[in-house]
Amino acid sequence: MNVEPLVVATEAEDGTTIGTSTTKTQLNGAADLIIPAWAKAIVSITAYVQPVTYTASEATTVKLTLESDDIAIQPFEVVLTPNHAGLGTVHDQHAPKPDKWIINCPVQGGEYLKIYGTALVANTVAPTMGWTITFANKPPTDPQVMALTKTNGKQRYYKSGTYTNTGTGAGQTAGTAYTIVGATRIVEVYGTADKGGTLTASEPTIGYFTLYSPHFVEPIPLEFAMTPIPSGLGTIGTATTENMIRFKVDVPTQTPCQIQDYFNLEIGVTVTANWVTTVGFERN
Amino acid sequence: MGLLTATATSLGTGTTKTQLNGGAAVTMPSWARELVAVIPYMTLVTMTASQALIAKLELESTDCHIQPFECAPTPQQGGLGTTHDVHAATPDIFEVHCPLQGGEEINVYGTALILNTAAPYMGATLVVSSVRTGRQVFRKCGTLTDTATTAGETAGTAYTINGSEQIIEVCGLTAKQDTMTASQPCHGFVRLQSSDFKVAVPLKFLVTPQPAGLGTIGTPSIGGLARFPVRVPTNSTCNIQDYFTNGTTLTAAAEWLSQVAFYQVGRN
Repeated sequence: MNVEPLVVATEAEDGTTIGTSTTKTQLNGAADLIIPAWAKAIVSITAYVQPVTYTASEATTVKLTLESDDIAIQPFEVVLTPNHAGLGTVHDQHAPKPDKWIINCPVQGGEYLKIYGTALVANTVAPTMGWTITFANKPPTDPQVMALTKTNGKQRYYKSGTYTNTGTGAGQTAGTAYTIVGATRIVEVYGTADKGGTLTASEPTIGYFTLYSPHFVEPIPLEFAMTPIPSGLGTIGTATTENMIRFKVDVPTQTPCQIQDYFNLEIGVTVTANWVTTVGFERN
Repeated sequence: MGLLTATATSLGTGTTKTQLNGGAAVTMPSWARELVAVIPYMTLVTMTASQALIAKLELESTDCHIQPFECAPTPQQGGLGTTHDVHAATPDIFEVHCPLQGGEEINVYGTALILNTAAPYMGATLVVSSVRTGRQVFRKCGTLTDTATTAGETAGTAYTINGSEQIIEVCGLTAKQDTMTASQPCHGFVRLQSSDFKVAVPLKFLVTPQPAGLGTIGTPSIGGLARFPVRVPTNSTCNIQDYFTNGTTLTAAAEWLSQVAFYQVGRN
């Protein structure tokens, strides 16, 4: 028997500017990406955001969105690890390892895919976003592909909440509730925060997120930390972090499932941060 | 499972291949049946402004079939100006899965890919197992090449992998050798092309950007390599041409490099 070998390959671009505002911008030079004719699965996407000309005390936080008229890939919106701002007019910059999300979307080959980037906070100088998509020639449920992705082969969808301010006092802030439709279980949760404006020395931001829903099948707590935003000393300094912490979970849900998110700021700050949560889920 | 160390050894200020572990081979335990992985670590000691550390590690042995195995870990990026911080990324883990009988001597080498004013150090942790844990992996790096200073594609130097069955991982890196400029990051993607790929598939993949600081001092640090598992069947002798597409205009070129991991025919 002649078994077709597994083929997994990648496609990328060198970055598209997403402008200085918070407008949704199509990446790949504003062109649709045509899925290779041989592809039978979109395995994953890896993405980065890179500020170019820096501006003091200005962070970069962006969301990446996938859309298509040809394949059922929506919702797919994820927030990347922020590129944190520096303190004062002189500071360092750290590029965390680009984040990767498993997608497991079956395709026939030849479909059109739109890749968008959206800054969640306006920047003085436009940042650039780049991405790499991994394709396979076998469907996501093929045992070899499942071994590669270390998943059950089910397609993953992602949705992000609303970018919300922490306020200055220690305590809980509610975000804007959001709804995921068709979900059978939440498989990943994470949150990010960033600080803009005039930073203050020796003022880190730490806290944790809470997700609550009456549509979780069991009353499972979902409280999870963020990667802390450190703070420099003196009049110059850099608040750099490695990647955001992402948590694998298994929370069966009803559909639709409305999620209320909260951020619990654990130390009061004089300069507020903004935060956002993201959930990854499976459908039947 | 056990862990061995090839102790950190000065690589010198040139680009000469240097045997780690103080110039001595690392002897595998008698019970070892597989070299599972190698984890290089490296650092600059006396810092020099705007000077990065880009290096590769190689494994060689006359006692077992381990070659080619060369890997380039996350670079340590130099700073901007005469005062700056330095960031150490989490060391990268490179799977080897080389079968052993026990007692083999493994030579571990480090090579700086750019000149350094003060010698950097490199060492490695070797993970060994009493049982086989995976199929043997071979690796090869391309040649460190200057990017263009304008946005656009630059060709590297073609390299050949022999005995290849399929490529299983691709990865690239970029860093600035010297002459940092504020607010001038380098980002882009690597493209691999070969007429020896048995299937006509794209292999384009991003590299972790090399950021740049703001003002007259600052440290652009790199968090880790972006590595992509792939499956690309190849001819046994596979000649690979690599390219880097630079996304921004630079005053001084950055450097880039590609590397691939592959299975060899009949080597499990």
